[in-house]
Amino acid sequence: MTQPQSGASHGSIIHIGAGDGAELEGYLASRFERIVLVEPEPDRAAAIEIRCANDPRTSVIAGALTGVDGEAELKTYNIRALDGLCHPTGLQDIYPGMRVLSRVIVPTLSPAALLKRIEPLPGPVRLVLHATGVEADILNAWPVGDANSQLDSIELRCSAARLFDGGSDLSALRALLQMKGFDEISSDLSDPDWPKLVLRQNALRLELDAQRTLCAQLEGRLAEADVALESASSAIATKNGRIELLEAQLLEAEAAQVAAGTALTENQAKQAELNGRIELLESQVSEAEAAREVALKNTREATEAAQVAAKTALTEHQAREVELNTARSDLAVTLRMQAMLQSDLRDLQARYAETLSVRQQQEDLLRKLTPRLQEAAQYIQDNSALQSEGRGQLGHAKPRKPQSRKPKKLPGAQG
Amino acid sequence: MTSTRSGVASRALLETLDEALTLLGGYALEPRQTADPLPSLLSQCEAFCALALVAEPVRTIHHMACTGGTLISKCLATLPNTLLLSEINPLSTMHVKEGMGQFAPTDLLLAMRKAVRPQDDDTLIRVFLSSMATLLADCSAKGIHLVLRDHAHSSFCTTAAAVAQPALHEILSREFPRRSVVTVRHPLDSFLALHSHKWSNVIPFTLEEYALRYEVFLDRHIDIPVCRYEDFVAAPEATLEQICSHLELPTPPGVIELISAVTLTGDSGRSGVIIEPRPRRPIPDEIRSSIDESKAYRRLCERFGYTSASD
Repeated sequence: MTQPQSGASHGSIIHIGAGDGAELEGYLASRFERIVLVEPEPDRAAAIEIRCANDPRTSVIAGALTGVDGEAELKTYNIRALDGLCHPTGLQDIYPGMRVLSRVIVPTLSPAALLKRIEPLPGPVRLVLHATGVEADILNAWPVGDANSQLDSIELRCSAARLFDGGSDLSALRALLQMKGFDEISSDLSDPDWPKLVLRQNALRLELDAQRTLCAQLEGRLAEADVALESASSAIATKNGRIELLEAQLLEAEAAQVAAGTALTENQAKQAELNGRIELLESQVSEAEAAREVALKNTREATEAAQVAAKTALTEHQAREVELNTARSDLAVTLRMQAMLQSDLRDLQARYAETLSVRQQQEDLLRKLTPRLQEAAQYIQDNSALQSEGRGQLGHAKPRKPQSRKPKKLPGAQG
Repeated sequence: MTSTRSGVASRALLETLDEALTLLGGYALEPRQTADPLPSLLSQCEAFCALALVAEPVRTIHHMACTGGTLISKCLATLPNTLLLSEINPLSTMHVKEGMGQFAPTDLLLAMRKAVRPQDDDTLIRVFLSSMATLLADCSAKGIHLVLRDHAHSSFCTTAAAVAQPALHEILSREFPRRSVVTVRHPLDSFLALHSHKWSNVIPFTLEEYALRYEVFLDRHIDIPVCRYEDFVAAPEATLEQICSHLELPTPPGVIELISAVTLTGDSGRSGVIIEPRPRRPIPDEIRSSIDESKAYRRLCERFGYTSASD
């Protein structure tokens, strides 16, 4: 049974993988100020808790300590000491009769979570680590730099060979612990397959390692500073060159300024002269503009007058065009009417000629008719006279002579 | 007694011959001139008398609206010594406005219609004929040929009462010798022209009803020679000569060129100085659909040798 060193604080003990609590009696009889028992198998954890219910120093945590918080499957074997979370690999070669009794899902705790649950934890703290296959995970995850997590000693029971999937062998664990600043105090190799080691924190070496780490960091920072210094020096040199250049430019600028000042003075004199000329020209321009305005006005008036005259002329021209077209139209109508009248006249002349011809025929006919009628009249008269002689003596009637009357002669009539 | 009666007759005949010889005193033949036998001379006298008895006829031209009648009438108006009076119909009421007031101081017939005691158609006809007698005599004395252009639209394309009234040629025939001509045009073309002018006096305004009215017009002028407008525009001079032959009017050459100087009423046709055939107006859908359905339209086309198809 492990005991805290005499003369120091009694400290605390954390037993990972308490199992059936074989060490519990020893713990309870000790002067540890705090006793933390972590057992993943629920029944065992419950049994342990019953046994230490009356001791206020104890804390029983039912769960498995691993590198992370969560859940995992706990396998219990017919060799209870081999219970664990990891899958056995070479273990079955050592224990061919090994078989799984049960599988149960158990909660897992990381070292940081465990420490937070059980704080405060009076130091020095002793860690008893019986967690087959996960020893390296626990040790790597153990927080450092915190007084509450600082381990003073470790009692480790592990496998000499790598017997679990993901697990580590004795050599690897020794190296890990050495790297973490633990010196091996004692080892129990009575069971060559399951050696026990007791290791103690070498504070000096830890400090030395820390200082070395710090020194390395400082050296790195120094190197960075040297690089930065060199870079800064280079920048300063560049800037100095730039400054010199600017100073030279400044001198040049000052010289140029002086020259510019001289030129400015000259320019001002010229400007004064030019201003005088400008004023003179402006007055001339004003006079010219006034004259232009007058000329424009005169031109505009003349243009307007010309436009009015042109418009008047156009209107007159259009009116004359209308008159001309009207006259043309009237002339066309007149010509046609004249043609119609000429046609009428020719028709009348033709009909008149025909009428004269008919009249001439009639006169001829009448001339022919007259002597015949005279003969007829004479014949009748003679007949009448003869008839009268038959009734008595009548005188002979004298033959009738036509009364002479000249007929009217029409112009152009024949005969 | 017989000898006494014959003696009286002989004396009467002798007196008549004496009167005739008195009238013919200036026409005595010179001695030794011979004359034709008396019967031949008398027949020649009778022939001259027959010519003198022939009175100048009144000429008339008749057509439906939008059939080219104005164009042909313009040609008649350019004939020498021809007086054409346009759109005459003494019984027309198309120009008579509603109400009493209508200023027409020279229109005696209108005044008779619009009077408080309006006169009937018989009186209007007698007044018209009396005016025509005076005008005809005056024209004859001046050597002027009178032509009346009938406004047949008033009689045949308005009311049924108007159709029943005497037409112009029937009125004139009561008192005057008459020479007449009817002009026609393809009924579809004249109907399309009426449609374009919106002259929808024909009710209902359908191709069938219009064709029926056209047939009534033609039947009332059945004895009058007919001239087609299409023949006129194809050969204006030759067709005008035929028309003038019917109307006994002279046709000197070049009269058609003078029609631009003539303006007449009722000139509804498309303008232009050249007499030539014109393309048919576009046919609206509502008219195109009625072409095949109208029997009167097809009869009309067959009557004057027109094709009834729309193309």
